[in-house]
Amino acid sequence: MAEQKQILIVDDEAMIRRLLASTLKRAGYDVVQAAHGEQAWAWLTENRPDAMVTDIDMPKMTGEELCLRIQEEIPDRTFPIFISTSKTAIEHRQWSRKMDTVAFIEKPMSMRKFVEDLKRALADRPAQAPEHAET
Amino acid sequence: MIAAALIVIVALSALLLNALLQQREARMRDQGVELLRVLGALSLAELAPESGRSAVLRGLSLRNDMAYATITATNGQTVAESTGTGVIVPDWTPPSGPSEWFGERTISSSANRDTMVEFFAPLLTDGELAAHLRIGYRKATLASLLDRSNLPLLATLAFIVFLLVPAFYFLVRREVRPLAVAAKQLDQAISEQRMPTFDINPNGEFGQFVARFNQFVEYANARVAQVESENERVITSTKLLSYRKDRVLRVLESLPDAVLVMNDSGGISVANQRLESLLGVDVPTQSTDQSYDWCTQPIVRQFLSQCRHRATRRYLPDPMEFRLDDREGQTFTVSAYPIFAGKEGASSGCVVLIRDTTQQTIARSSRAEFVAHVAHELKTPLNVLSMYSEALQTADPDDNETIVEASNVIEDEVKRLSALISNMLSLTKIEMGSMDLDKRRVRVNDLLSDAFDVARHSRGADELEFKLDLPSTLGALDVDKDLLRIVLNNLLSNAVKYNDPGGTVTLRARETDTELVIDVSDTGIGIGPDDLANVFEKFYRSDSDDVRDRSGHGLGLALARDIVELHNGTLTVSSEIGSGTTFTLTLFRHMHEVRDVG
Repeated sequence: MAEQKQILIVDDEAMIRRLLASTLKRAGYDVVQAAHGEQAWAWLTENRPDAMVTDIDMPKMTGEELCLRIQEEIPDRTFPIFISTSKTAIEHRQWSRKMDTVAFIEKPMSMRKFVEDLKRALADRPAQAPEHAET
Repeated sequence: MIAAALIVIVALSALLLNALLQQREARMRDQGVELLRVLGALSLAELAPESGRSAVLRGLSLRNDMAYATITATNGQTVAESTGTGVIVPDWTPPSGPSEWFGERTISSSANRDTMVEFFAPLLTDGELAAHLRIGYRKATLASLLDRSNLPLLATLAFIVFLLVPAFYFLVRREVRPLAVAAKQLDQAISEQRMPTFDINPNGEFGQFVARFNQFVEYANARVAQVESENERVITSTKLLSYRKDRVLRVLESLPDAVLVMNDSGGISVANQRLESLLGVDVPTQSTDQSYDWCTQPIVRQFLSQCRHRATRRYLPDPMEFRLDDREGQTFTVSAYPIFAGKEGASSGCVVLIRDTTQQTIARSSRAEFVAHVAHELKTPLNVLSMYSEALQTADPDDNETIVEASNVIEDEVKRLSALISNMLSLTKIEMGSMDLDKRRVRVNDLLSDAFDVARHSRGADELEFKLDLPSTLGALDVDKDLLRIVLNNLLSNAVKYNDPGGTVTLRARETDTELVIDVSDTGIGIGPDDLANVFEKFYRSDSDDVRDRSGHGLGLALARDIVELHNGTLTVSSEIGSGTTFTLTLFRHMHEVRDVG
């Protein structure tokens, strides 16, 4: 069996995080959870996920701030970012335009659809190097 | 007056004396001429016989005024003469021709004291001029009149004068007396500074004058009274006007807004001082300037210019909100309203108001913020519900773990949503002032025990220890039971939610005569000093990860405090990170008494 792909989940709502985690685990992914952008960034300084799904409205560091920071400080990023938001994608168009491989998932998100999207996005990608896949 | 009387008397006397003098002179002339005519008819010899002494001449009785009678020959020699005592006969120069033989001459010589009047006529002998008969009289003088012979006349005169003077005096005095009284009354009126009236009633023209004068004074008094009352009215209305103006200006200055009154031509006729404190602009006084250079704020200047251009068209610019670079966080609104004047409602200028609308802006944005918060808080549990219900639908029927978890989450979220909505409604009701307290006598012990039981059986309570510390003597209290239960439930559920496994939740109560104090304590994660200050704010949730991991919507404590304050009580909090939190709820038994004491 191939190395498990690792997904970073960033959401301040524990229930959503928990559901995402259990769903993804059942779909065969390894999961890392962060309650807000700052926690996620702390993890990202040492590690690289195979994909990241993040909420926007979060304390300490919002999803937008996190994404912009990643764009700035990890220019060689290859992992796709899924942004889950209650707001429409149009509101985030301006800043998200600067970023590659960003997809919006409107809340309430359908787990089944998200897992399909995730699978498609990661289809031809090898898992991240094991040294990044700690935790 | 007396002098005038004397002058009249003297003049009368002089006229009388003069008439006497003339009468005496005429008599003297008649006598002289008659004597000459009688004696001239006699011959020289008869008049002056050779014997030398003339009996005729001597026979002439020389009266007081006849001084002498003499016959002088053509050669100048005195033929005969008869003279009065002390009289020297003046010299005689014979006349040159017959035309001057008869005549009369007046002689003032030093020889005689008196002036003499001499009548002369020729004496003929055989048709030839032989001599001249001369008869001299003393010329009558004032002094001669006053001699003894005239005493009766003088006495008469003196008597008349004696009678006339007092009569004249009394007459004059009678005429003049009312004048004196009038003058005195005038003086008195002047000294008393009032309009004079004459309190006398004389006859004649002066009487008419006094009557007219009094009429005039009456008329003048009426006019003065009228003018005075008009003046008083004018003063009163001036004072009233000035008071009203003062009042209007004070009202203008008391307004929280800057007020500018723009007249038709665009000049600023009135402005209050608020402009200075509001915008830091010097207030113009009666400015006719239409470029509004005094206004250092370009936005306001521009607005005023628009007002000026549009004022005549009765179409003023819409209110405009603006901010100033040097007043961070403040917003202002400038608006213009037309001033209508006259029956046709013609516009005459406008009033420009500049208002500090910072509070409204804040209120507006906080309202928007509240709505955003509410939307967010509603959407979050809905998201969770939606996602978990999908999970439930797609779950493997044998996957009990997923099914149980999803069911639990759905139940929790529905409860949370329901609590959120009811909390929000209660909070809104309280803030709108429409929450009616249904106060009833409640046994505190029962109320606390009920709430304690609910908390002990809530989710997450299994791993905690619960302590109830109530004195058995707790009395009753007048409270809204339902609302106070919300407070206790919120506090206790927080104590459960933010506790650590194995921690303790304590509900303690103590009371004095005046107050009931309820403590809800936990031994959980605690609240940091920064968060402690905001813990009662609506929608406030700590950024702490420990807090974020536990579901909550940030309304429970805000509602709890509002309800407690509605009961005139207090809700305070003390906490230490890692040691736990204690909320202290104090309710007063007799609010008015405690307030008075406090």
